[in-house]
Amino acid sequence: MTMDPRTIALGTDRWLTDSRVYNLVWLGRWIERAQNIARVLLWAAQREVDGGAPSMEEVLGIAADVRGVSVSRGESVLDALLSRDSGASLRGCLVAARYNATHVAPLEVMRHIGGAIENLDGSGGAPSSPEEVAALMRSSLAILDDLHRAIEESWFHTDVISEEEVYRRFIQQQ
Amino acid sequence: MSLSQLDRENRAVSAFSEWQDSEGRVRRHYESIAEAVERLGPQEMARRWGAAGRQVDFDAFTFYLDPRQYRPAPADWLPRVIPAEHWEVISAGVTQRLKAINRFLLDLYDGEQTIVPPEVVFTSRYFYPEVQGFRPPKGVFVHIYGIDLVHMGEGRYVVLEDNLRIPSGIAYQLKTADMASRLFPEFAQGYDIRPYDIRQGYLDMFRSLCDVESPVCVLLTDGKFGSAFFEHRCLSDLLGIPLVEGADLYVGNDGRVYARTLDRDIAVDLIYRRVEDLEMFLPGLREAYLDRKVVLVNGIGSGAADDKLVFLWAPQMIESYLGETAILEQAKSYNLQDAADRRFVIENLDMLVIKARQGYGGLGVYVMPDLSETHRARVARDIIENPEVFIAQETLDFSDHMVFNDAAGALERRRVDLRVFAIQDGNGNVTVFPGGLTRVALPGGRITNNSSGGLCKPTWVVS
Repeated sequence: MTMDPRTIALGTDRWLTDSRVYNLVWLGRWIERAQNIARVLLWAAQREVDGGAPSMEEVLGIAADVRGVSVSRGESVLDALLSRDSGASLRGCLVAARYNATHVAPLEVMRHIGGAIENLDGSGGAPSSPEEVAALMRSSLAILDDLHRAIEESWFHTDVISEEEVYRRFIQQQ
Repeated sequence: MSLSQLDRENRAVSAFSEWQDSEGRVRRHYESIAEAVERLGPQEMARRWGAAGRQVDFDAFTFYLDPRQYRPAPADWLPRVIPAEHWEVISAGVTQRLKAINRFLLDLYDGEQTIVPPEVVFTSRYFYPEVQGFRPPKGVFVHIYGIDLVHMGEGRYVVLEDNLRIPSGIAYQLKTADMASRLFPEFAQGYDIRPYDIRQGYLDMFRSLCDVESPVCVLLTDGKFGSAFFEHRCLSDLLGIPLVEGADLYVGNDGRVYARTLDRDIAVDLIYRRVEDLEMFLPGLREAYLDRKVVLVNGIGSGAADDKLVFLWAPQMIESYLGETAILEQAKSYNLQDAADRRFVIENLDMLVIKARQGYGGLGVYVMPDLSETHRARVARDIIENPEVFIAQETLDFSDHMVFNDAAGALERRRVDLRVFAIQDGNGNVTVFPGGLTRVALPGGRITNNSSGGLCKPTWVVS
């Protein structure tokens, strides 16, 4: 960025401060995690719908182990990965992403994250059958795809540096 | 006219309703809105309320009570309408009060003020001894001022509190008015709503305070988990100034404040601070300010006049500094360190409001008539043991306003106050932004602060 800071001071909010970069990086990480969890849930559910073995519950158990998510007594592994109030779950990742977005992201991006959370919350109770889980994950992934498009179209294309450049500089600074 | 479909929950809450007269007829300046409400009907109103709530959620229009809990700001979309003739009085009164308070602060830190007793002002938590002898840039301590008013009826507005440190709410005023105009355009039909430009007002004010032509300005926030973070982000976007946290700034060897960015460090001329404990967020900032290396909005030390006990002397400040009588009356308040006042308060405790001197956001406010016997006794013991911590204020029967209860599909009356915002620039010019933020108390209550669960309401000044 070669602009004279005085010329941008009252005109833009493009400074890449530590807090801004921190929130940008974590926003990206939480969304990526959310997407990964949604894909695993979809794959596990669809496999059972298609009659494959092992069952959704077993596949999700393995996925939880791989992710380091311990499932407490009385909690289903599906709940742990879908809606637990922490970064272990799809919903938890989206909630965390929304906090980061409130600091850095344009309204359009915040709205998509809100839509993804609403999609989970408004699904008429927790899904239980593999069919329901698969349908919910398809709609979640569709919203997350829209979110990616919104990020590319309404944000980084108009920003003074690219997403990759932000990340590169952040890594260099560490 | 009356509202046949929607007014079944319409029970009197206070002696004065903004919306209707004592006969139950809708006041003239509310007739257009009432007609629109009638046309929409309860079902459509509820649907629209739901859609508005969804947008509030999606737009991260939030006010957090618990940082771990994402909380959309609760709002009611029926606008409050302030007739222009009421507004002229409010605006003149706010301007007068802001100028007098600023003069008081200049005198206070010059060691020359004689209006407020020393034992009062020097025990204020927000009196900063290190500011003594310091004159802020352009002689302005209070750049952004929020004043809490209640309406007693027929244009009689009474001051409850002054907010001089980091008054919050102007972005809530903007957002509710903006959303109401877009989501409920029929409410605005037939009204000539007075416009205002907060962006230009703030930027002109920032420039007037600095000695450079294009000052580098930042907004210092306490972070994304802060209760009013929405406002910090919103104002940063609106004003086009970077949003920074304490860790983004440092005080350099030359005493100036710098912002760390990935590209380079940038010297900052002005910090619009939205945090009180500056040293906690940026060690050395106080020295930088006192060395005139950076301008702070609001200035350090302005909170001395924010003290609810110092508030008692505001009318005398106006008389002494401006040679005028206060345009806005203020709630009768009692100094518990004064023996006669204390005796009166103890004898009439059931009729008063007790407030912690340094409280804010509705915290430490006890509306005694609304408390249980046990709770009242506990507060009484507290004020006997620690009279210097509290003040007492008369309990006012202030106005109520219709809100739409979307769950019940009906209108109901709830008490409202009005926080009005004003700015003062480096040339001493005061701008009062028309309208303000109307805050709505919970059902049956009198405390309207957002921190205590109050709703936001769009507010118009109409000709």
